[in-house]
Amino acid sequence: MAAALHLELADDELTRLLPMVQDLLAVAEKIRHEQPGAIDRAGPRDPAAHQPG
Amino acid sequence: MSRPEELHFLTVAEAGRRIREGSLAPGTYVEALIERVRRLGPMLRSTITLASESALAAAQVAESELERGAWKGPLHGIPIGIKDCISTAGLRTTANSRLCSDWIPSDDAPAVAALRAAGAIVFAKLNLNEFAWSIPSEDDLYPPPRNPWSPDHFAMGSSSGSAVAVASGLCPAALGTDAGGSVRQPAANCGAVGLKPTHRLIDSSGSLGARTICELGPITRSVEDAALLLGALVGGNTSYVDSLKRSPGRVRVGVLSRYIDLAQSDPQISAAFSEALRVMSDLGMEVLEVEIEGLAKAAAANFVVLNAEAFAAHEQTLRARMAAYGLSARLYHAQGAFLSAADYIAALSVGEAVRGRVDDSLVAVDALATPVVPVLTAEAARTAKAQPHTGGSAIFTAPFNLTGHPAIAIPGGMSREGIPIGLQLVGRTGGEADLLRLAYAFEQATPWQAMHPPLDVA
Repeated sequence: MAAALHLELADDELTRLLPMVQDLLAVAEKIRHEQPGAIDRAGPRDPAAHQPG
Repeated sequence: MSRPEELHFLTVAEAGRRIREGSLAPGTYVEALIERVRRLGPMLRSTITLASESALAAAQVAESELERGAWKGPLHGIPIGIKDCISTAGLRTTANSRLCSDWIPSDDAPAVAALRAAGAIVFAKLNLNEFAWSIPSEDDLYPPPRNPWSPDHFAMGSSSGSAVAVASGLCPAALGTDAGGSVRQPAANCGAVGLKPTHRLIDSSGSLGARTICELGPITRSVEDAALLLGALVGGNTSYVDSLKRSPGRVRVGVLSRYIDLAQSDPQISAAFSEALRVMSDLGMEVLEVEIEGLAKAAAANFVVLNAEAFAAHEQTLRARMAAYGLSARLYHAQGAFLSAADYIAALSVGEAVRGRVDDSLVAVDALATPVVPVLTAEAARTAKAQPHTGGSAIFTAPFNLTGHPAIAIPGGMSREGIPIGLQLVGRTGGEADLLRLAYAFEQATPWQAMHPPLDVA
């Protein structure tokens, strides 16, 4: 993944980075799932709301 | 005339008074501090660049101005240290990184310019964790500062050099940066005062830090000095210091007991915090239990924002010159590459939600009180969790970076090992005057401000 991002890291650096990133992504995922976005917040809409006019 | 050894621990306010009345010449003051940096610097490792020549030249200019009655205010002729990730015109700014080891900015950061306009003298550039976002190590460009109270330990970061220099009498005040506690934690750890102002109260451009959560803030040896520096940093507002000595009145202080318990602080920190609450109660303040939902999430979300913004700021340089970063800074700045836009937006949304809850709680109380950091040493802070600024060592400080509320660390106790313990007070958005007045009342009722590290013992 680091290579895909064009970050040149040695194998031992990747070994050290991996658990850091795993921690970070776990934190980020927990926040994202507990913090719905604008569409999630709006909930399912009344189909009538989509009618033109 | 003052003897050099009497000058090291003058507060900004006292030195300013002596300079104004003519009993202390800025040149004499600067010379005394230069001598102290040269004597203690190799042990403390707080100073990256000592600006001897330019500081002495500025002191001569200040003396000429004072002789002709052109007094600029209480900072006129006062030497101040600047964290070395804040730009200083004509003076090397390294961020303690090999990437910037020879960088000499052409312009001052606006905050530095404001201090110079108030008559302050840029005295030294002070040590820090590389780019203020890494674990310090002996093979950094400049090795980590030692805690003057216990030199076997490093000082907490990232404004470690700033807190060490101020606590050790190398300069009376310093300017640091705080994106998760980096002013407040080192200040607490070294027995100094550290203020993180309201988000955007001080222009933070010209410093290297995460834009939406990082504030510039003063580190001083007294609350009065913090008020003086804040006034200068916002362009000459004297109301902070003018209102300081008025009685804070019937203040209500909110205590986040359940949140504080979550941190499982060192028992000595818990005991010092309980004692601080007793002091505030004795001062006539009303101490009330408060609960704010989501503070732990805010600490974690601040960590996500910090990583995303650190990577965004360094992306091109990481790709082009990865090897020039220290190992820790390399990994710390790279990890944000793996976050998504959704992660970043969700983290910012947490800030919005918790900001509203903190605002609501600050209707019922005038300030919130917490410890500054749940552990006693920089080494313990690192093992509190794998990375600093997370819910581990920054559990009390980081939430208020994300919400943007002003927060101050003041000395609040001393451990059996002789390492200072801080107290954090959090105020209303834009409520620095009230916050400083409360902190001042606490400071005047406790013995900690008058204590200095035992550096001069033969």
